[in-house]
Amino acid sequence: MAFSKIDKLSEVFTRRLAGGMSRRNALNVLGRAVVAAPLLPLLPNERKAFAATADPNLTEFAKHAQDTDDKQCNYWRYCGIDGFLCSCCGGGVHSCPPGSTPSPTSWVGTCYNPGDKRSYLIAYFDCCGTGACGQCMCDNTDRGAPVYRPLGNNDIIWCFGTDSMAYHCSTAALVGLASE
Amino acid sequence: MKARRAVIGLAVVLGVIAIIWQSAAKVPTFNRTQTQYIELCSGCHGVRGRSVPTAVPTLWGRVGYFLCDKNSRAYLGRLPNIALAPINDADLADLVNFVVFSLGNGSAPKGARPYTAEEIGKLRAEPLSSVALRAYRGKVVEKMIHSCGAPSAMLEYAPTLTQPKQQTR
Repeated sequence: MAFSKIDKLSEVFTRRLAGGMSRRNALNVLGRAVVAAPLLPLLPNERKAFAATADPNLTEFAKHAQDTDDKQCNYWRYCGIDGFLCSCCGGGVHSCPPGSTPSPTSWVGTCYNPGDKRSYLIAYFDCCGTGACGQCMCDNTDRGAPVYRPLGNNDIIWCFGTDSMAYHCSTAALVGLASE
Repeated sequence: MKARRAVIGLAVVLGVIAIIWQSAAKVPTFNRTQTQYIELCSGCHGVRGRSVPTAVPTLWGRVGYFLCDKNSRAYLGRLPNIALAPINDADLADLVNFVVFSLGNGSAPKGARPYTAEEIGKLRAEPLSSVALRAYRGKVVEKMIHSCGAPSAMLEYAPTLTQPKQQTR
């Protein structure tokens, strides 16, 4: 019974469409829809969808974090950084300045992004091999552990694996989306 | 006619850019166990278990050999950074199983059983905190090389000493 109703509705719709629109016109409309479809997710709707998964337990850092200026200590990715920001030292938020060497080891934190209201795993790779940069010193401690738990401590120079333990600055590379 | 073609052409180009932008903007999503591994272990061992072999033991394709025998199996559960990880027994068992079976990439002996929360609970209660760890690890690995065909490269291990930041700032 249900199928016959759907059949009837489809028939009525198709006949009306055929009676009121030429074949070329129909193709024109269909073509526009196909071209426009990929653009739709760019609209603010997508960000709104992310907002639904906001974490209510925000840290003090996360409450005041911003996502526009990576040369400020309250940039969202720096929730657990301790050191000079490479973005102030000729490098970037995830790249070392020329002349310094990225360490293959890092300490990892989880930071809340106010832009899409989700939490991301951030690896703080130190840039090593040359003298301290001295610019934009930040010391944020979200999820940080005391020094006797070195794996969660950001007060240590993470230059293990490089030729020199001389510390220059710190980056904040995005690893991926953390589980809720 | 030309104007219409130009508009359609532009729309197509924008559509392609949108598709590329969307796929490029996607970041990997990790489940609970992977997230815990990344937070607690990947800083030294690498997100995929690949690290500088002389600074930190490489996990990828190797760590499964620790399921070789009872002693090596216990060694893994009693390692201080595993035993003292700030997560419960069930989560820790999932994490260690992810490490040995996924990052181990087939290095676990055939038929090796996964760790249970109960087994991990017993092992972590006796962390290897009062033995010369590197020497002890060397003995465990030598037996794995002899008995289970583990690669001799697993003996490479010479961690750099930690140094507080205050000394250089």
